[in-house]
Amino acid sequence: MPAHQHRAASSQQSLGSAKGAASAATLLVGLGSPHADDAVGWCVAGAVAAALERHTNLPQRRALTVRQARVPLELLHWCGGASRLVIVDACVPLATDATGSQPLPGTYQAWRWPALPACRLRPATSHDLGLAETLALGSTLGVLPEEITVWGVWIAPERVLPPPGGGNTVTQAPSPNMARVTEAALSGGARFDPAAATRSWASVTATIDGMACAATATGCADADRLRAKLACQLSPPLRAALSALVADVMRDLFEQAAWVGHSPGAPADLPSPDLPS
Amino acid sequence: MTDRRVIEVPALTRVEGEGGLKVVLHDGQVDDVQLNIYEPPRLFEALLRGRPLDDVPDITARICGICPVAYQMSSVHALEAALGLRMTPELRSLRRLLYCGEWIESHALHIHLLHAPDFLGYESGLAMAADHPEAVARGLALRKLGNRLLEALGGRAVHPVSVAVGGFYGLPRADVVQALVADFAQGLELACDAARWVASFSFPDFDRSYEMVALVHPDEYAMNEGELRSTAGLACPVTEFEQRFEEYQVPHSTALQARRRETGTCYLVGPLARVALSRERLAPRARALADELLPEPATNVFRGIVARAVEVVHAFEEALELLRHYRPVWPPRVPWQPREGTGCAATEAPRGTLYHRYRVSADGTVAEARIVPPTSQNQAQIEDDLRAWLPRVLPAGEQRAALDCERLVRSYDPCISCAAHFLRVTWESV
Repeated sequence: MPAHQHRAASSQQSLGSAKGAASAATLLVGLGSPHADDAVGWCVAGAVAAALERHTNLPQRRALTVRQARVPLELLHWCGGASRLVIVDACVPLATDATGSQPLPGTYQAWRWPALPACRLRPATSHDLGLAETLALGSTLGVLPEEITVWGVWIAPERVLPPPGGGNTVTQAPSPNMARVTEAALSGGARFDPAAATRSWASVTATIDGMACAATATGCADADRLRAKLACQLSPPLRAALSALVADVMRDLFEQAAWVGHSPGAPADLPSPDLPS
Repeated sequence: MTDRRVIEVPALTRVEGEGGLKVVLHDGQVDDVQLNIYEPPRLFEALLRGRPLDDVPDITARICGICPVAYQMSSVHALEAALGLRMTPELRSLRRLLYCGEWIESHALHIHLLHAPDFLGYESGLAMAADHPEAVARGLALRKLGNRLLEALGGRAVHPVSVAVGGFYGLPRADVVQALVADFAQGLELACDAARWVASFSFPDFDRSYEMVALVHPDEYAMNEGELRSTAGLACPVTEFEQRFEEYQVPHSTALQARRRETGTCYLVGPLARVALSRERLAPRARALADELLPEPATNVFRGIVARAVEVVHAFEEALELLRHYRPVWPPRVPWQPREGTGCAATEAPRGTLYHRYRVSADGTVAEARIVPPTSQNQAQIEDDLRAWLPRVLPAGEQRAALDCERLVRSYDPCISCAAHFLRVTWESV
């Protein structure tokens, strides 16, 4: 067995044992968080998943796994069986280029890995690997699909976190009692009003994020509504671009020759994305 | 004329957070060693004042993305002490289970991606993966299992949201938890493999005489509670922490350092200290591996990676036992009423003893908070180790010595983000 095949087999033996490994031909991952424009990857993934959910007769949906990831390392546990990986992530320009210009927030572009934009694209931190490092690690371990596309959506540096007044800083007072709100979310959807909660949670976005995840884990039906509310935090340029971005990502997904059981169709055939209003 | 030279490592790599190292040499002799922690102060203790006390576990969890459970555990135990609450045995066990998830994910990451490259001669985990893919994949798989346990019990892997003063806000169904058992049984075998792998590394001869400090519990390998003990004979309740240990400021660090109050000496907390003080309380396979791979006395800080791997085995064994017998507890919380009081607690974070103290007001808000993280406590010991280590590594040249110093610092698995703490500002009028 060639060395790279042996490496892939041994690595997949460990990584592939994780529950939730995708068996679909294509894996779409929205990378980010619920915070400000960093949420754009999650929004796109959520919109694609919702669109496919509403079109249950589409053969393509059987071959697609859609996930939202907070940290890039998660990808390596999900790639088993996938022949294609599509990632959507927010990216922050490193600096102005030689002409003094920067990509405008809301503009986006697709790169075929190993090409990646020169930007802060889910940068490495002391706590985790960045996207570029994770993909390099996955490649070394032989666990990545052959084809990887990264959709990078340019955001302004100051929009990585929500602005003052709508942010996740816990220094702002007065604030609601996070514990009570968390308890309400965990106890079930009936007592949980995301609209009212969002108004009162301006200073505790981080907890909202936690509630969304906890609500999912505990089967709270309002998790999707909560995420839709969070998508509303996107800045105007991102919100304006979201519809076209989702359509482009779906076109990219659907027109792939590698798509299982599907002939490439015209964009008009695609289901329309379900975007938060 | 004297020769004064400075070796600087401006940014330590493969540690949590941002810090540097400065070594001053005078005529070739080590004159000064400074572990520079220059992350901005976090001011968590100040911003907790006036907040509802049941916000505290959610807020303090943000101190660290690697060990948020530790902050949640120390904070709820301290607040429950202030409120006079007693946990039921069932809730206490579930908190241990949650802590197991954090030990596994934190230790697995450090062992495989941050620390092992030092012993195998690679500059990063990524570089190491090319030649040791099985080991790196195993580390990622172990970390993932820890995260899955956190997700199941805590709602999500980073900054779990289920921990409440008095217990939990919600608990998962039994079938969700039972689904983890088979994978954790496999994880235990992977963890044993990892322990043997790290024990096969070549370690520098660097045994030192440490005062090692950790919680010790009579019936279990201490995580959530116990008595403060040290290898130098200290034995006291956690309520005496501030009488026995003191924090102090040094100019070169935004993190306070700590020393033993009676002797003024530094001390060591973390996995090596826990194994030294509670070896006989390790779960059976972890105990057997500890005796085989880390014989007493284990006083070489470079072997901390073996202690860490033994603790991963222990965490899997303990988690498996708890997972197999898991039943959702109802109600998931012990009811409580606000009252004025002061309470403290220490738990064992992956990196060592984490102490919290809170004074709460009758209206249920925090009046005063005190947090002493493990990396703060280890800082002075790290600098002391470096002073002893430098004369051995300097002959190889300053560039090589700087790398060797980084290796020693990484042996402590320091979490600089947790430690960045306080900055004294001096105003000068002209």
